[in-house]
Amino acid sequence: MPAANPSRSCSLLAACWAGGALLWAACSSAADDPRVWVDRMNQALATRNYDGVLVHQLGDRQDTLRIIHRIQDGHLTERLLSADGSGREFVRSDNELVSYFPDRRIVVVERRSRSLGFIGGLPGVDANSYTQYDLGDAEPAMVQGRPTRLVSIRPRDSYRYGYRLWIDEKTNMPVQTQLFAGDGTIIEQNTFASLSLPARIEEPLLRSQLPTDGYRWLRREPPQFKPGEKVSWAAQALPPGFRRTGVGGGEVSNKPVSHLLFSDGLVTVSVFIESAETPPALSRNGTPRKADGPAQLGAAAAFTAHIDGYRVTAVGEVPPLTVRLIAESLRPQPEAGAASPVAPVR
Amino acid sequence: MNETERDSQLSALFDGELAADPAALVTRRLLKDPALRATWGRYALIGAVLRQEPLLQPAGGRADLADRVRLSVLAEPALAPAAQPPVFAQPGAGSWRRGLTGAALAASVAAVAVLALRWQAPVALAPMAAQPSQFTTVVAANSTPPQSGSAQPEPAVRTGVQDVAHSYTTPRQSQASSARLPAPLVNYVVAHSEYASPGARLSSLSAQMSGSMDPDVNTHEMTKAEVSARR
Repeated sequence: MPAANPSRSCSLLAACWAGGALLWAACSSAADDPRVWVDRMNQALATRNYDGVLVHQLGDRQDTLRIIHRIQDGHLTERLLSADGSGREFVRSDNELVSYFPDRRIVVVERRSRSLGFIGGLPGVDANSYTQYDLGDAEPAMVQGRPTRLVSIRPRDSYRYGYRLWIDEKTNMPVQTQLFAGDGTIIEQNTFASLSLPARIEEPLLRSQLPTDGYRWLRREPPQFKPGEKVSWAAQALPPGFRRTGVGGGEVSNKPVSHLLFSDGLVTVSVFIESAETPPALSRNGTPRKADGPAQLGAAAAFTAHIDGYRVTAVGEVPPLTVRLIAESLRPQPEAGAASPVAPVR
Repeated sequence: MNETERDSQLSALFDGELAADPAALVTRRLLKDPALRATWGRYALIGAVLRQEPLLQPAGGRADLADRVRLSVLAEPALAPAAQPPVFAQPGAGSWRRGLTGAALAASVAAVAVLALRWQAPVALAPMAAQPSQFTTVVAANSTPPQSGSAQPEPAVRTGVQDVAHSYTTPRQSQASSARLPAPLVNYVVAHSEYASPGARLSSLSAQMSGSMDPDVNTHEMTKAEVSARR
């Protein structure tokens, strides 16, 4: 028996050590888990008031905007003021966006389908994200002397972009974000030059102070899509990881348009399908405009293909190849009822 | 003098809190050093934005600020390669940030938290930066539209490892500065922006501000009653 004691105490020690190590690992993984930090950031963006100066960089274009964002009683109000000397302002109240262009003396009122701020979170980061993206630990990083966590979400292939988020440790706000390609090229960057999180934001700060006398007031009716409508289109072969996540139907300028959504869990690509028989829209000077082939709209790539008498346009913040593959993979289904599930290629 | 001290002196000068002798020294340095001038310009810019002041217009027209900022970006010392997260300067004791804090407090009843970040040296955004950044439509190289049912004009781009580089190459931007987003695409971009990636919703604003998207495209006049109801 005497020999058993040391052995038992050894295994006890080992068990304690292993338990301790596990506990430590659990604690450290929760503290460094990128998903935890992204959740905190999403929560902060969805619930906090903020007022800051934001530098938005896209290519060689750089815009400096003051952004005042308020969530009060479940309602979103947001005001963006451009610092480019034009005096342009954008005021969002839930589903409505009012854009002021004092240099053109016009105001444009638009209805949007969802109530979202201009700075969105990154929903959809979960265990499945690891298939398409490489998520490292949320590493401590100093940004302008403030402790932040850097969450790097790197694409595993060239069909999608990656994200870098510098999340403030104290407030969970993204003090800097980058959208980057797999080769390291930075596509878009947002940086807060200053940021405050006031408990209250008074109404006047959220209202444009521009004198709009003599301005033209215009309304833009963007397509309104009803989710869940049957769309008899299917994708033949999607880029890896993408699957259909939503379907809607609607009208644009009195012609029916289908809206399909494809996502890899993080990024969403919209596909709009309209009959190609309708005449092409006219430009301001009355000449028809070509809208076929590739286009780049800020960080979003677009591609329009003609398929079986339809114009199919894919738009998304993905590499140009991805929107092209998605647009060209779509085919009308012979039976409207047989909306077969989209078969992703893996 | 290290960078932190230099920056802190600069912000003290900016706030008029520097004694005459060091002020003269910093001013001389400011005149000589384009990077320092760029920093100075950014302090002024941040202050102006916070105070909602209209920025000075040059005699030549608008779009001055973007140009000025771009110039100041160009004047920045060499930045980290794009693949690396940028390395930031350590913060100084710049008192303009106290100003920011004050402004924020004045703007609100109570501040839960106030952060004020030093203006960051923007990183160079590589390939797009080399091109005119109009968010314009790019008509496919072959100007004839693909025939319906067989829309594969350039199969080389479709698949294959050798095409990986293509996927990161932004389609060639139109050189014509007057080129604008065609009306049908505007609708789709607007509709898609609700599903856009974080930050990307700002790029549709960017498109409007850069003039590549006509603000009044796809719009109609509101009635007098509608307008007066909004006032």
